[in-house]
Amino acid sequence: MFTRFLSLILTVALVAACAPAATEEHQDDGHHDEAITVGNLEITDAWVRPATQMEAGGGMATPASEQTGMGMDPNTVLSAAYMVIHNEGGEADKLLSASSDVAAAVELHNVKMENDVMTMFQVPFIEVAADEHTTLKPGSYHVMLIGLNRDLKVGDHVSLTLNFEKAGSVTFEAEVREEAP
Amino acid sequence: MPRLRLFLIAFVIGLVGVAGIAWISQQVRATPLTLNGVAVEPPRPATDFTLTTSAQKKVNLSDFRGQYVLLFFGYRFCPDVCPLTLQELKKASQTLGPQAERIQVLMVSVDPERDTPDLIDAHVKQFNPNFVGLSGTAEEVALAAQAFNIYYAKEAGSVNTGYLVSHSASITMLDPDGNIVEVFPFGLGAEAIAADLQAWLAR
Repeated sequence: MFTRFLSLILTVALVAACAPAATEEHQDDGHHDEAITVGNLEITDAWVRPATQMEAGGGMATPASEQTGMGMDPNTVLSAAYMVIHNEGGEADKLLSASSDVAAAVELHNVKMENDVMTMFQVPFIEVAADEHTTLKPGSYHVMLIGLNRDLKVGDHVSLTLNFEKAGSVTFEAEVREEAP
Repeated sequence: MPRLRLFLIAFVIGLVGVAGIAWISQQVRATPLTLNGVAVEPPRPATDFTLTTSAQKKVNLSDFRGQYVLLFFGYRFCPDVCPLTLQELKKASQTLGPQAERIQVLMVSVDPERDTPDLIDAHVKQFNPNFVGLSGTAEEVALAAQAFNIYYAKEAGSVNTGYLVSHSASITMLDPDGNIVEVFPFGLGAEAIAADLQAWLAR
């Protein structure tokens, strides 16, 4: 009789202990309304740098072509997108490419610092190791947005599409901010 | 008798204590500032240079004597490192409040081909209207970079980005007399830079 009573108490205690934990799991930290997931990956803390067309000699960038070479047009405006990619699955993945309706071209880049000299270079993919989070941040990996077709002001949202080798593609909105959330 | 001895001992201890405090405080005043960046010891006079800002206005580095100058080199087709530096300097300036008028931020373009004086000046003014962007001929930029041991070189890019430019990413600070007194490595952060600025401004 006493044992049963004890078991009942223990059960109730366990359930009581679990209940708040279960509630906490569903609570958000307020950074985003819904999780951005694709396959085993989750994207958080995505943000894009502000950028404005210059008043001096302004004019929107033209789409890239071999001849015009947007990169040599001083009026081309650039920005960068950053985020944290969480790989909750057991296998590594790769971010192969990205696109956005706000940019004529999008490239993946990394930055190397050596003796305070910074070198930026395009990369064919960004490795997303298994069971880790990969952070894209200033001075490191980032998604470069080239040839913007509109101003990006703080508070705006930019649609970004990421294409992963295994997880597939995902489209979401990133906020325009001066710095990481 | 014992009381007198006690009194004398206490008096001597007191004297030693006061002397000690005086000595320590003198030492503290004499020590160099504790900085987050790298102090340049001894300070060395900066070589003057002449570059151009918007509306074809010629600017000499020495025009900014009387202010602490924060000078760095970068370019507009650098959407990552250079905006971070500008953002750090913007926030550091904001922290200083009214003292910010004793500081002058200058950005020199290492990409004079694409960064005209108008474009680079408009670019930095998006962060803070008091920042000044400078460019010029390839030779003028080279002279300025050389004066501050700034390395820069074109690297291959894509048809989208055009060439990229590797460059030293640190910030050099000059005192109001035009001497180089500190270097901030890239990515130190706005708070650290502001703290150092406040230390200098308090002198």
